[in-house]
Amino acid sequence: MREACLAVTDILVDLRPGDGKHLGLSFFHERLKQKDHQDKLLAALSILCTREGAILKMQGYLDDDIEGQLHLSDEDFSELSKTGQLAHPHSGEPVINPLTKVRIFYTLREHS
Amino acid sequence: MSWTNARKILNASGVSTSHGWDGTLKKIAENGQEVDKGRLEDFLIEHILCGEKFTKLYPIDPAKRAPLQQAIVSATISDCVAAKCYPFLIGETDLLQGTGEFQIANVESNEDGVGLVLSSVFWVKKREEISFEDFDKPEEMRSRYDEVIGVVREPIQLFHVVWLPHHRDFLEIRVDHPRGMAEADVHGMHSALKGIINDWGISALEKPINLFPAVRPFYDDGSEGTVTQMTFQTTTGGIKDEKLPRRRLDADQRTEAYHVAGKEAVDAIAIYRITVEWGFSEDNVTYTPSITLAASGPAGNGENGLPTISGALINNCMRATDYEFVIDRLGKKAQLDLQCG
Amino acid sequence: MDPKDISLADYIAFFGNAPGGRAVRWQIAQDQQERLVVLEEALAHCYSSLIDTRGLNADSGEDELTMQVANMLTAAGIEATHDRHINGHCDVIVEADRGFMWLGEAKVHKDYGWLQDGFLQLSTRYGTAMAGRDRGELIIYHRGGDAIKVLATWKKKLLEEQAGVAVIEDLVDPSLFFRTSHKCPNSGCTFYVRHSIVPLMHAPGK
Repeated sequence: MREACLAVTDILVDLRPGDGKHLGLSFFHERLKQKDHQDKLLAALSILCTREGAILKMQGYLDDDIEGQLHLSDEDFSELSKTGQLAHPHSGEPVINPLTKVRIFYTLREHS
Repeated sequence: MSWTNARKILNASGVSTSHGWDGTLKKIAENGQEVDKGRLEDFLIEHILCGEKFTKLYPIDPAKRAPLQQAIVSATISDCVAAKCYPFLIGETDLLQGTGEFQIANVESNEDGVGLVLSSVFWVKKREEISFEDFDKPEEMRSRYDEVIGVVREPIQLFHVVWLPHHRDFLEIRVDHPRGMAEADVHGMHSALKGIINDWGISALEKPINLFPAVRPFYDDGSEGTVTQMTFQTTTGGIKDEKLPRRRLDADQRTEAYHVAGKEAVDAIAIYRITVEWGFSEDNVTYTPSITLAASGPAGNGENGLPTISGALINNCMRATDYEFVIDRLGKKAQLDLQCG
Repeated sequence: MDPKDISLADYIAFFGNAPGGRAVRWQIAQDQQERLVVLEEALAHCYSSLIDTRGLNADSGEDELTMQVANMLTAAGIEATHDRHINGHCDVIVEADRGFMWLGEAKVHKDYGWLQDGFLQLSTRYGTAMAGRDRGELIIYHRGGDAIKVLATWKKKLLEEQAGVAVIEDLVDPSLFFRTSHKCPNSGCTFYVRHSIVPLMHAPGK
């Protein structure tokens, strides 16, 4: 797992200034050369999001028909992950099957 | 009112919220929460005056201020269900019978100005997801479709405002602009409301102030909020529409790497549509208002062939605090004090 | 680059539902208490896995069993190290941002004095009870059967032998754990220990 984390970190080191605001899983997957690292990607990202001095942050957005990406606040994202429920930020109506409509990506943290 | 803003208002009023409207109402009922209805009503009125509005500004002769103000405060409130229910919405039966006619629901007066609140009913098209479980054979539907969407036309009640600020020499016509409303409909309502005021015979409102001069100053001032969307033409002939969907305070289109690199590759860009967002806190409430100034293209019938922008979409305001903040910013960028003379 | 980001549903499914949900919650935990809830759920999953494979692990010692726990946590996105040097030797350490540190001391049960040693190592030697670092676990691997009785006896002896230790949650039956609190002699802050027993008896009747 350590090697997988290092491989992901190597990808991040090569990012140009200003990049790193929206990194999807496919971005990392395409750049990892070893299958073992690809298989461990999600776990590695989780570790890189949560260790002391974490360099990445996981975020989510609701794919809305009209407005496109409606980014969830940390609190709403956390609540969704615990309860599986999400109120639409505009209408306040419950979103049907929110886990299929919320998409995740990673952001390089400011201090990284 | 968006749920995001409603939740802020409810929390600021000491109401503990849950998942959306239904979840919150259920929580209140179950917990027996004490709700400060007076405070909530005050918030609601402020939101009616300021939330989700397409605003046009009309210069007025200072000599006409007093008679205009008098006409507003002495206006006869319509004998209608909207006025009886104000500031709350009319019921579903009345809504279904509602027409596009403007009815005076109330007169409001506060430290910022005086205004007429007019109600009308408008039919919007709404897309709704239909759960597979609603069908007789859910599994069959699930195998055929990823989602099933229904389109429904439904009436909504709008609150428009004719506002005379105490400290600015222009009259504001604020048309309610909920999601799903076409721009043509908004301009139609503006025209009708302008006609009502002109019928008073006090001050003939002509053309609204052209807000296009504010577009470039908003873009050039990097300290002024964050730009989340803009449309521009390049000197290479391209039309670019750039958008940053993240609602983060530092997600600014002006400094986004792709935009900066693209701009450097051409001689100049002519911006004709821009959305600026702000985020600030006051009294433990976080405000995130935005303004959109949109012309239809890079050229128009304005002075020197420049486009005209007759109104501003002032969005995501909860109350007067954030609305006035945006108008103040708009005033500085459009140099309204010079335009109004 | 695929323009469509992965949905939360697909992300969770990748790990398998419960572990996937835990991985998300671990990454977006808002505070230390949330972290602890997710970690204990993950540990429950690890212990279940050890129980399910107890036949294969019949000869495994403390180190091997604990290494499996640490590896399972890491594979689920919760970084766990085994056998790191913290003022001596601590079996499992889970660290996370904002100063979170959880310590696990593992013992294969042979006698209650051995468990006392484990508790004392955890509570006086390794744990400091500073903010975010006030949680630990005594993991008791037990191959002798009737785990509930052993844990209940351990709880009784602990309270008899250790003044200042209080039981704050008793779920010996049916959840196979109880929690204690005591004042950390080093910092003076309160340290919380969860005592969990993992029943690994392998004596198939058939």
